[in-house]
Amino acid sequence: MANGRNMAQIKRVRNEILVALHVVYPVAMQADQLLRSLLVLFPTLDFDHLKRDLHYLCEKGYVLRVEAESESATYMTPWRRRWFRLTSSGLEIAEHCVKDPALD
Amino acid sequence: MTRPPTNKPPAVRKRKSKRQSRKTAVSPVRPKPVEKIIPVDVMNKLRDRVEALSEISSSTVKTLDQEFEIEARYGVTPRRLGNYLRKIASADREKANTTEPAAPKRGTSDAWSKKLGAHRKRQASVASILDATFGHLEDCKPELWDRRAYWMLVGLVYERIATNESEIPTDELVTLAKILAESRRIEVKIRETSGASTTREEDVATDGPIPERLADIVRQVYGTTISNKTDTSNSLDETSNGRAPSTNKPS
Repeated sequence: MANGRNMAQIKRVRNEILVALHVVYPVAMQADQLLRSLLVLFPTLDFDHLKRDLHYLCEKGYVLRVEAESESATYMTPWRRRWFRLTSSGLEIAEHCVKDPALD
Repeated sequence: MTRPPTNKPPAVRKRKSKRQSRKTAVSPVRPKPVEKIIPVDVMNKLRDRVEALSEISSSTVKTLDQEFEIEARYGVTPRRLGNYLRKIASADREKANTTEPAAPKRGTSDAWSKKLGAHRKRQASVASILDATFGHLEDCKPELWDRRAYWMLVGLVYERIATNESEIPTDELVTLAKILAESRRIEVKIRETSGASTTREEDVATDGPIPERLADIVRQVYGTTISNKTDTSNSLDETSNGRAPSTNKPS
């Protein structure tokens, strides 16, 4: 259990983040838009959980935070308005070209 | 040269005990099991035939033997064949009686798979809409009409349609795209002419959440100036007729 969620739930959410970003690839999506689309599948999903998963995926190198031109101080941008896009390795995972046991 | 005589007594062969002779005695050759004699394809055909039968009588075995030429080809007598087939049939019957429905896999309940299936369908339709609306990235050249506006639009389309919240009419989409592109172009021009970077207040104003209604979007993008001069609802009617929105630059 991590943050009140079990392993299966965590994996599902992470996978769905990749799938959503895969649909709009190579475009970036705001965290808020991601959350809204994920709420269809996970009605109880908390934004903090999504934030945690986005952090994880960024550290794994599957997702990349994109800084918009209008963001003068990037660290000041609220999380909900931050842009994220799939990286090439994230795309490979989303397309099942590469397997990651942490996301299977 | 002759070998010198030895004092050793001549070797006497000992008789083997009963136990020893039993050990070394050649056991009678066990016949090969039927499944190893008959080729797999023939065996499968036989199994299929047996499955269809409710009882395996000796006449049935004879018929099968004649049909597949078991004795002639492989040397398996009809009696052996019959015994083997009966054994298979009873094993299959037992298996069928004891087989329980497989337990569902962890995390793949029906409700979840239905929900996921519906979501995947929506995602697929979003993907096709995005493809039809914007085409490939190279074709739509987002760098020409501002990267962020392009992202915003795509994200908006995905969010709205994937969540099945509401529909986005094509007119509204076109209007939104033009408004976003126009506003960004104006911003860039202002920056170029003033030569100064934007202040934090301006950023906050443009970074705000996208309103639900198009009228609110127009109001947010063009500010109060345009809404004071003209009625917003009129401009919306104009755009909903499929005509391009007025590209009046805010003063």
